[in-house]
Amino acid sequence: MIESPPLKVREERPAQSAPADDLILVRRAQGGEYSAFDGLVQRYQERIYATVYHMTSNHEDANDLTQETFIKAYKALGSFKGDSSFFTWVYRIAVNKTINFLKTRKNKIHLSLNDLDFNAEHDPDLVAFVSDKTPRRDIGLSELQEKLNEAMQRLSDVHRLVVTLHDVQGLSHEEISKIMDCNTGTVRSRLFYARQQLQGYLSDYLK
Amino acid sequence: MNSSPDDFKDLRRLLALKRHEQPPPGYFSYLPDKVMMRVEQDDLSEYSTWWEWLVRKLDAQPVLAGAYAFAISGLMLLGFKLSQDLQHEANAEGILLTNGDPAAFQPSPAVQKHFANPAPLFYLTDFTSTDPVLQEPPPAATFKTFQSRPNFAPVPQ
Repeated sequence: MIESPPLKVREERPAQSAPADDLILVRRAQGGEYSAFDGLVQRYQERIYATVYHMTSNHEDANDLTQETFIKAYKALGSFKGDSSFFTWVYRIAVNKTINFLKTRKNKIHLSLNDLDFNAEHDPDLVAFVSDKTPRRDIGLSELQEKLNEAMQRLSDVHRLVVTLHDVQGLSHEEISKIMDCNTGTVRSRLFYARQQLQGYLSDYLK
Repeated sequence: MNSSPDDFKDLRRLLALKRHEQPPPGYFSYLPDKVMMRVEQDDLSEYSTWWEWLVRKLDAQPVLAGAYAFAISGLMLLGFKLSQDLQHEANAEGILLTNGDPAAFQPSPAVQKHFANPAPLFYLTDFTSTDPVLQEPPPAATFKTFQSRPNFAPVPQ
């Protein structure tokens, strides 16, 4: 019997993970310097896109919402005082925009999933998942991806958000609490409930 | 309620799959350009005139204002210097009249040399505008027989 490797717990990023020069770039962007804001976009585009994508399970929507997030951030840059990190601030804009969008999209879910990258087959977590005696261990990764996304879409927006930020993106409870403007206890309870729901939806594919 | 790392082990392993979902290749290399293009368009459309936009930009960035001022001053100085050089060159060539007196006008040696042996202007004296340019003999008449019979008079019987 193949012994599965221990579950790799993703390292949680510290609450103040934003580079120190974020504030310098923000100040320059507030002065109207486009290149400084461009630097901020380049720095956070992947994380913002990923959050929105995992919330919508649709590339086109994620593309639009990511652009709108940064445009709104630029317009609202004057109101950014630096009390929180730019990272948390821009995340909050993305999350609010996405949740507002999802309210209008209700019952019109259309999955447009991105392809899996080459490393997926070699991810230790996935190798362990497939090698374990799961009832459907012969299923392909693409099908698994589709089932997982469908299950994610059945969660409520806030529960999907917590799972996305914590289990997919590896943010800490503290950081999620800042982004969602709630306390860490609420984050933990939402995370527990969301995982429980997902486990139920995906019981055919889990042990 | 307990959410220690050991809970939901398989679910969390499965969720790792989400981290491998990637947008089309090169997507993140053109996204910032798209964003910045829209930002600049929005920025520009907020102002009714380009002048308002420029004033706002210069107000926000004194360094940029200084750079613009420096560049404009440089261009003006360059223009002034060029015009001075041209004037000086023209004076040296004698093109400009001295003291505004046509009688005192002295063409430059180059001009004088050029006009020392002017081409003959016979065409202004010997010909008029209605004269043919080519002085060639008239071509042989094709209908010579008709020329000997003016007004096509009938041939006497």
